[in-house]
Amino acid sequence: MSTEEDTVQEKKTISLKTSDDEVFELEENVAMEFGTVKAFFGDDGVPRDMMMPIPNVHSKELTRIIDFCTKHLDLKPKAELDEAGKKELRKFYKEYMKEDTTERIMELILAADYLNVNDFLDLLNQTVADRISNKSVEYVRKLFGIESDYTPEEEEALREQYAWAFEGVDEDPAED
Amino acid sequence: METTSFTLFSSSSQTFLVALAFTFLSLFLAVRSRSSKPRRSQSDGGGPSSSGNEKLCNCCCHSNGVDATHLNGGTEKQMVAVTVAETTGASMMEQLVPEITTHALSYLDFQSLCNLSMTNSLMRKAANDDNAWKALYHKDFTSEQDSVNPVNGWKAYYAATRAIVNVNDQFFNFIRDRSLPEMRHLWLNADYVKCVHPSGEFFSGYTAVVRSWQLAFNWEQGVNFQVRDLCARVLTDIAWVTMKTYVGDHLDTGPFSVTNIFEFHNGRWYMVHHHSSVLDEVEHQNA
Repeated sequence: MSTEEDTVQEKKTISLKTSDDEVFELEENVAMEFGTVKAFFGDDGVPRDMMMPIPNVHSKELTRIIDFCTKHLDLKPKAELDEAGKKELRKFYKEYMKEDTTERIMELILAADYLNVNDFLDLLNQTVADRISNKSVEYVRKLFGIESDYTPEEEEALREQYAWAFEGVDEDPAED
Repeated sequence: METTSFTLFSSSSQTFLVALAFTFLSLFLAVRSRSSKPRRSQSDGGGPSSSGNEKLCNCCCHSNGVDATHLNGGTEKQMVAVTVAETTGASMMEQLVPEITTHALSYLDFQSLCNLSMTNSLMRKAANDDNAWKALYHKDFTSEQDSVNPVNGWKAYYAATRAIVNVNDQFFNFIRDRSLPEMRHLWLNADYVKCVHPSGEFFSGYTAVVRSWQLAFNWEQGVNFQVRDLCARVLTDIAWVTMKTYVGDHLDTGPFSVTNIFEFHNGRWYMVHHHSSVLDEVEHQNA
């Protein structure tokens, strides 16, 4: 455990203590990307040098979120400037989650949701959506490790019921 | 469920997973015990259903050809995911707290949402969420009808709307292809059907309407249509669709304002009314 919380206020850093008792010091502008942190400190009231506990986030996730926010903060203003900046931001989004397992993404979603990091949450959700887009039910099951509790008959009945989603031809509208 | 998962975050990930396992295993068992059907492992339904799903998948994938390799793709991810499932008895996806799941669902398209609901009964409950389908409806179709409360829920309404939009698209394809047999098949054989062509000519009754299309097909080359601003209102047996169309090879003729009305008989939608007229757009008016 480090006692970095006694840094002077002029450095403009915020201290967060994770579930595994690790203290992270981040620049204020990065920390303010976390909606939860922003709400905690508010405009006045809570002094900036107070350490904020985040018992629902593990240091592993926080490291990653900080990494994203720092890079994102750097790229976002460039993106608003010109087309090349936009392209770079898009590329960043595309590449950032490439190496992560779906399980890892889930863990990050939980952490990002707790910390209210909207941009990262958006990217995480979109990554998951892209991974299951145009895939079969079996693939989705395997990807998330979901075990089916349907009998073969139930599955068959369900597939018939949802045939409209895959063939897009005339279906009975009145029934669910 | 919510509080349990958050406090467990404080331990190391290994014990966290195991602890989470017991929490959700008990939840899972509680959910299952309500239904009397016996639980089948994945292997039982694996054989016939996987081939069935591949067949379905080929139908739904228009531009991207999907082959069996996608099942083998990302083996590392699968291995990790499967290991998690073995230790927890319930997947991470199912463990996400309700509001996160709802938010995550809003990123899916309708096919993914259906796929998810077919994975197991727990996911089905989540993926059939009415609000998720309402949001999807507004995203895919129209932002209108926000205050509407469909009788069978938004998922069914979405399905019905998609069906009508497909029939509507087919109508324009029949015109483009100048296919009289299909046009005859689409219209309801009744004396109250009506058709108003952009020329202003009005036809009433099945025979007259079909003949008007025959004449149109004889005179004109197949035309290209671009449909915009489509709004569909679907009720149990009747649906009406309004739209704007641009016509021609360069889509430079128009816009036309089109209204189509359909009735549902014998398991399919029939056209009973078509009205197309020139749309007076204020910007194009010459003073």
